[in-house]
Amino acid sequence: MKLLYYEIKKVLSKRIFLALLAFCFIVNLSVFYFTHNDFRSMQYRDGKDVYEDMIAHYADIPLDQARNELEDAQLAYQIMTEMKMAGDSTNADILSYELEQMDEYRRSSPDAYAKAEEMLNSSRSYDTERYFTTIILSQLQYLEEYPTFIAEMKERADEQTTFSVFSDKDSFSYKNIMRTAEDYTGLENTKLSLCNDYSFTESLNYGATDYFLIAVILMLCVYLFRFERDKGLYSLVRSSKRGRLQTVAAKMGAMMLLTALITVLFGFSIFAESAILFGKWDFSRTIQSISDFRNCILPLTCDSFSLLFLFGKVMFMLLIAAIFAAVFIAVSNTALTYGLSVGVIAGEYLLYRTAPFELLRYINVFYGLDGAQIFGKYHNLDIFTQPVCANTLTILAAIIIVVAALLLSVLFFTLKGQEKSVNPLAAAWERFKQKHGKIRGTTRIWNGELYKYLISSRMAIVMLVLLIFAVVSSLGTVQYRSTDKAQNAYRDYLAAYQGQPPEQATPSLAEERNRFAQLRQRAEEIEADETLSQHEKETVLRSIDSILSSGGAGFEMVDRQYERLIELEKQGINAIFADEIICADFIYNPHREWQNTLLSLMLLVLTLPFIFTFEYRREMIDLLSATRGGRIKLFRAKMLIAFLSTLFTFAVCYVPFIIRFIRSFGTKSISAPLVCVETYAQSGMRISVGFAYALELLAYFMLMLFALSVIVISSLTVKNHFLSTAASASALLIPMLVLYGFKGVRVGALFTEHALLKWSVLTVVLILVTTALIILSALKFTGIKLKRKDYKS
Amino acid sequence: MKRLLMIMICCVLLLSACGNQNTPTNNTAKSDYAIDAQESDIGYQMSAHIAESEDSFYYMRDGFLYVIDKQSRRCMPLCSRPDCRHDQGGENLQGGCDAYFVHGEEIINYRNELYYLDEDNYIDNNGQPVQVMKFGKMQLDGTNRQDVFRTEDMMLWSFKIHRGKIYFLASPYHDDGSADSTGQMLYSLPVSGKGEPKVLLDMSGENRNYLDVRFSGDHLYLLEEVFISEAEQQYKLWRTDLNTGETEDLNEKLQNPVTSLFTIFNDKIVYVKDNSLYECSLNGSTVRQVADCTSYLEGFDWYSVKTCDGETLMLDACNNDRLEDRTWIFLDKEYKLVKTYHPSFNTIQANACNSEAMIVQEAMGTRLFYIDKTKLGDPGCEQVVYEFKR
Repeated sequence: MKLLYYEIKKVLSKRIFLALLAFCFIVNLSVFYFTHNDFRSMQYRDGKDVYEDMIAHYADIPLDQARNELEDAQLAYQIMTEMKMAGDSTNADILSYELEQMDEYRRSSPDAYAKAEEMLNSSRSYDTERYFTTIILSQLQYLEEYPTFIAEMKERADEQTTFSVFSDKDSFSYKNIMRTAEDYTGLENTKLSLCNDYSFTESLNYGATDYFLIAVILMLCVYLFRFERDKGLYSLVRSSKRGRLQTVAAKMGAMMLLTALITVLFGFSIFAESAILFGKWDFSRTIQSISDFRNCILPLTCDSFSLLFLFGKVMFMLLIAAIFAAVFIAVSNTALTYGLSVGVIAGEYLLYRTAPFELLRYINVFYGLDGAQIFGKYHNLDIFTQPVCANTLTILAAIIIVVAALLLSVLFFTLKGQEKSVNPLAAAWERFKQKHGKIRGTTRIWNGELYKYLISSRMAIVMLVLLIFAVVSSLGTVQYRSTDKAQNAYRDYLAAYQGQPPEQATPSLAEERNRFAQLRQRAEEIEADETLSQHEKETVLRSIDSILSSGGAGFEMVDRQYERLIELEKQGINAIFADEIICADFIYNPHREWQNTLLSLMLLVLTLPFIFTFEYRREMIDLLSATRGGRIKLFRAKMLIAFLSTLFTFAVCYVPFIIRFIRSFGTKSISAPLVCVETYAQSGMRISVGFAYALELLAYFMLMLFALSVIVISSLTVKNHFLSTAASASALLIPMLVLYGFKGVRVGALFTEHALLKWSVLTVVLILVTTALIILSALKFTGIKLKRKDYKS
Repeated sequence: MKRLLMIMICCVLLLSACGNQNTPTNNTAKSDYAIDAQESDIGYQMSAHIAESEDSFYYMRDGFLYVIDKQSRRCMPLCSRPDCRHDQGGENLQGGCDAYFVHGEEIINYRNELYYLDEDNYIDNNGQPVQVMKFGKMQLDGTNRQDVFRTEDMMLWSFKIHRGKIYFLASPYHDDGSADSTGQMLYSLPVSGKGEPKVLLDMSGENRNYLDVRFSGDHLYLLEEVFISEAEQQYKLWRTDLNTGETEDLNEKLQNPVTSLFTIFNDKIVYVKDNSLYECSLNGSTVRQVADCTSYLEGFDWYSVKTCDGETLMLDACNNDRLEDRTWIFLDKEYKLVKTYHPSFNTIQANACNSEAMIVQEAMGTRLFYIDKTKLGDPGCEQVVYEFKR
């Protein structure tokens, strides 16, 4: 017990761990807040009092009465809208129609009409009430349908089994039908009622918490299983009084306990934030009151379900923690430890998304973590034609894996030496060099740093691999796949016109315009021709329509572009034709931008921490004092290497696409002014598409320099390569993962309006923050104590 | 040890002989209605919306696969979950329904396995969405879905399976990523999906459009429409030898070329030209006018061949602009009138499934009908088996 206490105390006394925990906690809450800025969320956020009042009112009256009242209110809102339209209309026909409608409403629904008049004369807006009227009506519809859905389950199952395809009693289908109907029994008398479902479901479906928790667990494992190994303290730990079993048990216990506590803390914080933002929900309602849980077979109230949900989260986080622990204990190589840990998680995620077999998708960590899926949905898997509940199987598998991982961890810890291993090949190579090699060394700082980075840290191999990756990525072409005939025809025209000023294309465009006009005229003539039968007309018209809907529609796009280019020329812009489809995508492609940024940040996180933590790793920190020109020179040399490495990474991530693009489409379109592309007509920048892309790249390079400064400061703060990598990954990569779904948060999105201002603000902010962090790092580095803290003691 | 090794080798050899049920059968020149016709699967333009098994029909529409029980004449989505709302569940729930397909339009029963055309999507390293088209297969009860063939290089439009091979129409993507929806190519591929697809007919080029396809023995017949100008089009009836790949245009031989839908009935190509019914031999060497269609049923603007069930041939009689007039004419092997039938609902196409029943969807409507061919004209011969939500 004492050992457990000391292990927990050890972890909680680490400022870095606490800082990361606080960072993840705050960012997690912030991400939840900022990811709920869409129209729907804003309605709930701004109108939560109205919604809660309405829920409270309609929940207390019978369903029929509630539906009638809401339908009346909806009609009143409809009449009010039409009254407004009639008032705003200047068209006599529309006005006359609306007035007729008003008379009809006055006669058929006098109460709704009077209420509409009252609302119209009122100065306040009724948009919120109207929005929630529709929402609550759909909730009521579900509440009315559910009892029938459950009551008819057996009947539906019986009916299904009368179909020949499902009638074989030995088949999975038959057994699944019968089992499903059986599992739903007992829900017939479930009491449903209205409740604030949005607040509840949003907190359950929020998935970013899992990423933050995984980062915290990774850090936890570093402190529990890596710290002593890095400091060479395991020889002491191994000689404890009662052997190693107690030590590892204490470590595993600390990990499990802290993982569970942190998971619960994060889970509760999101529940609380959701309740604050979108209103509280009634915990006493049955979970089936929410339509998302129509297929939940557990007879639970919302509070029990919330606890079960948290229990599930804790269990699957424990599973991840147990796997990480086994890897950390079993593998002594740093890179391999990270690679295996991240690889297991990434592999599970890939299986969850793409596995061809159901079993691999359901017996999966991410299924367990996927919001309310695990307990909220019902699904049976086919196990040798027997229907087995996916949730039961997943939980059972999770328990087995947790136990197995714990046992393996204990086994590895007690049997395997935990000291840092020395690669026998590397040792042999060192001996060989000492014996046969000549000393050709230099005392120049730059050379030394470069040697440490490229050779000692093996970054030369990484860079070579990246270079090969870049070369391979540069091969191939960019394809914009489409079966849209009009779009394809447009692109065929632009293949000929791109790069040309409009006046150069005028004659051939006029010719095409004339051709399509003649075709339309011919179609009209055929339509009017009474000598032709309908069948003959249809045959010919089909042919003409085919041409008009492909080439004709494509040409119309070109023609509209032509008109716009003429207008731009009048404004003094050297307008030329550009393929708008490829240009718009060249500047703004949310997936490509996200993918390249994530890749570049990942590479920085993997490659840069070596630079400033190398001396700590190799016990060389004491040598720093011997630098001739003081530590600032060394800092400059390290920063230059970091900068060059960042530049290399930037080139690896971004240049291959440019090469592929130019190989596919040339430079004619991207040399056109940005305003020639309709999407960017309001950009307000008189630059070319290519230059706009260069500005975009510059912004991304600034972002990478910001990442560099974050990695440097974290390296100098934690003074440990492993920790620095974990901290940088948490700070840089998790927000990037969360940003995937937010397509508007991209540099390319800045160019649609006030592009220069937005771009300048972004880059200036990045430059300022980066500069501040680098200055802070320089101060920290030059002020480094000559000896490590633990040496003092 | 050696004994153990021998036993293992024997087991492997024996087991390997048990597998691969879909080994292609040798093509024979002899036409066999039961194998070749596939009239149940054939609709306009090679589309295969309906499949048939011993006790059920299958109907694919708008991403959902429905099963119609022959005995009870009832229809439901092919999903073995009584707690699923299937096609009534809205967009969010479709993914969880066993009857749901992303690209659900085509279904074929081949040797008691259902083959379908479907798609997956992913985003490539250029940030562009890539559509992966695929053929898949599953058991007759909808379980055990497996991919048979996947491709990113071409857009697959429709397919048929004939004597161990998948024949499909596809448009390869051009270098710029575009694919034509007209001007497609006809490929063949072993039904196991292994191996490279082979081009049988190249119909690439603008304004080329295939209309209909049939099989007979070791030959494939494909009707193509070529728009020469906005007022003129040409029809080609391609006859392809499935063993050698040799192709000829039968229309070049025919005095009255095939210009509308055709079928193979009684080992003859049967079609309507200028409201006259013609039959020609499978190699196009002889052709004869069978009858004037108006002699079967007067008062219609035009007639066309629809389908056949091996015993009876079905014609469609239509009036311009009046969909509701459409009437079916059934002829026996001697081309004698058996029956005419005017359905009570609007139809665009009929899918004749067998000599007993037809499954037909209402044109511009939401109802699916089961029509009892043995009781045509009786009050209960038409039965609504399903009403679609959309």
